[in-house]
Amino acid sequence: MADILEFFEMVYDLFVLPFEMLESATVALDSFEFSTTLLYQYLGYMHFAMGDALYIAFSSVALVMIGASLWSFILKGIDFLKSVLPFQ
Amino acid sequence: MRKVFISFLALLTIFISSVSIPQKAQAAAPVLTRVVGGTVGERIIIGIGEKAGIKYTSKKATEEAVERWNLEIYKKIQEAEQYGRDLEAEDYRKLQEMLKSKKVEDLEKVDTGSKNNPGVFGKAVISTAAFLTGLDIILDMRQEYVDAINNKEMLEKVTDYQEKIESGEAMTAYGPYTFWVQEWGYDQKATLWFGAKGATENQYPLANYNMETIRVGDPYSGVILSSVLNKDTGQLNVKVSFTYTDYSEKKVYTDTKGLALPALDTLKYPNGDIIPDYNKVNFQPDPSNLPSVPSVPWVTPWRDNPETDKPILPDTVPIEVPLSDPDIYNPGEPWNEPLPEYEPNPEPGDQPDKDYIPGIPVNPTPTPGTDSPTVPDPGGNTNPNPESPTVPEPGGNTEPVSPTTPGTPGTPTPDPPGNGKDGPVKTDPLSWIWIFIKFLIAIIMFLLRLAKFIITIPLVPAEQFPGVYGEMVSTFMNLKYGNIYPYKIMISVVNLAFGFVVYKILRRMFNG
Repeated sequence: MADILEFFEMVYDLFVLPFEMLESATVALDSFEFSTTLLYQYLGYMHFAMGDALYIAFSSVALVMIGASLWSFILKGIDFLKSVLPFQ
Repeated sequence: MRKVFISFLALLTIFISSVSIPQKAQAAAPVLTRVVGGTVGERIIIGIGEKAGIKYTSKKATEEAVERWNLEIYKKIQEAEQYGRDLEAEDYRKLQEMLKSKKVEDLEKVDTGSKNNPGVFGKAVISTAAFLTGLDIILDMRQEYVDAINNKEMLEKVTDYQEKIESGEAMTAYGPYTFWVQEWGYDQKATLWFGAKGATENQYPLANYNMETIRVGDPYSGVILSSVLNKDTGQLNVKVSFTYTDYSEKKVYTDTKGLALPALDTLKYPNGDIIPDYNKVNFQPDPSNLPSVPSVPWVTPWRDNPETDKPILPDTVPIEVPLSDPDIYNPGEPWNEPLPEYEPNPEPGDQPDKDYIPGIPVNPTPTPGTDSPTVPDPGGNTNPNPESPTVPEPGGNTEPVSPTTPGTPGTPTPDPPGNGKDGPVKTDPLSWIWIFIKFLIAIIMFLLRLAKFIITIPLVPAEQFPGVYGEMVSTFMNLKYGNIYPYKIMISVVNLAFGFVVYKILRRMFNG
């Protein structure tokens, strides 16, 4: 009897736990602030050490690189979708 | 198409690069809003001052008070940022923002009672008023003075210290021992004379120790590194690091020497004079001098008895249980009236229940009738009392049923909600869909915030390194050899190298 109950509890958890995790993940995502992360802090340190001109140049190039990477990822994603589709 | 894209990114880079970004330390003034005259913020400042007993009788005095407020806030923010107290600086900034943005309709006059009773608001603003009127400086000074006294007492108890005594000698406390050092002046051949007398470790009897003569220049430069009592021989082994000056060679030497001090009955100077027995410095509190804890009668003596260490609990506790209530059929006002959200819908089916919360069962128990002087019998028995013929029965047709309760039509719940007997919370499939939608929305918002963060990376304010690293970086940045700044040279070289790398990348991209 106990085994049966455990089985049903397991089945119940199988359906309930993912949604509980979804709820907790939603709360975590909503409460995440980039301005309090270590990355933001280290960028501030870099800005202080590198000075205005070098930091702006560095961060601008990094921004361009990030944009180019995203652009290439998007193109790759489109190509992947095209290859998945049965018709051309 | 690719050239257009690269040109757009280059223009974007030039645009972002043209934005001037002030350093964080220099950004306090423009970021900080100022409270100006004629606003509600000025009236609040004047009101705070009047709470503290200061009334500004002239317009000039009022302007000066507001100006003082702005300056003090500015100074406090700068001071907090200088020492890395970012949260405190942010609090001051928010306070100033709040004061600046207050409107007339935000204020409501509150009667705080008599003048002698300032109320909670008055107590809160008095500290602010102290800061406004300069009293905070005096209070801070007093607090620092008290802290200094406490720190000195603490240092005297836990660390080594040295102080001069009447005989012109210096008394040094080190661990459990007390040393006194004769002052000899700056003679390279002078003799440093250590005498040790004090409590020994591990409750050993008191003993006197005479240190052998060592030749040093400045007796105050000697540092006792360690002292170990040899329990077998009774000798005190002292390791001393001392610095002395050789005036003939004009050099300063540092040396370490280990000494074994034999136990002596009396301490003597090199000329044979007996060193007087000074009182040992009380660097450790004597527990025997502590006042005894006064005996306080136990408030609840039946719980614990300190004399027997056994709890005294009564075997029986008399509880009066009324067996019959003469007014049971006339209970008066119901004390357990359900909350409005648990009220049954008077018009079931006409409109959806707005208060329905997915996953929370709704108790269809009807509201105990306030008009009817009767109470429902949970046992379902018919009330034999002929004076109350309108006793409703559970499960009867007259029971109002909540249409929002899934699966329980017309069935009354015997337990009120929240009593722990509701069983597992029933969930609705719609709630799972809603959870999933919320998750998707959260992901989208997160990605949007991430994109916003990435775009604003060039605008991240400069932040000084914390602690000793900040001092090191600042020292390096301000390093100067003649008219040459190594930091600026390094940054210029890195700039050139970075520009060269960017040029190579762009050229490779354009040339394919």
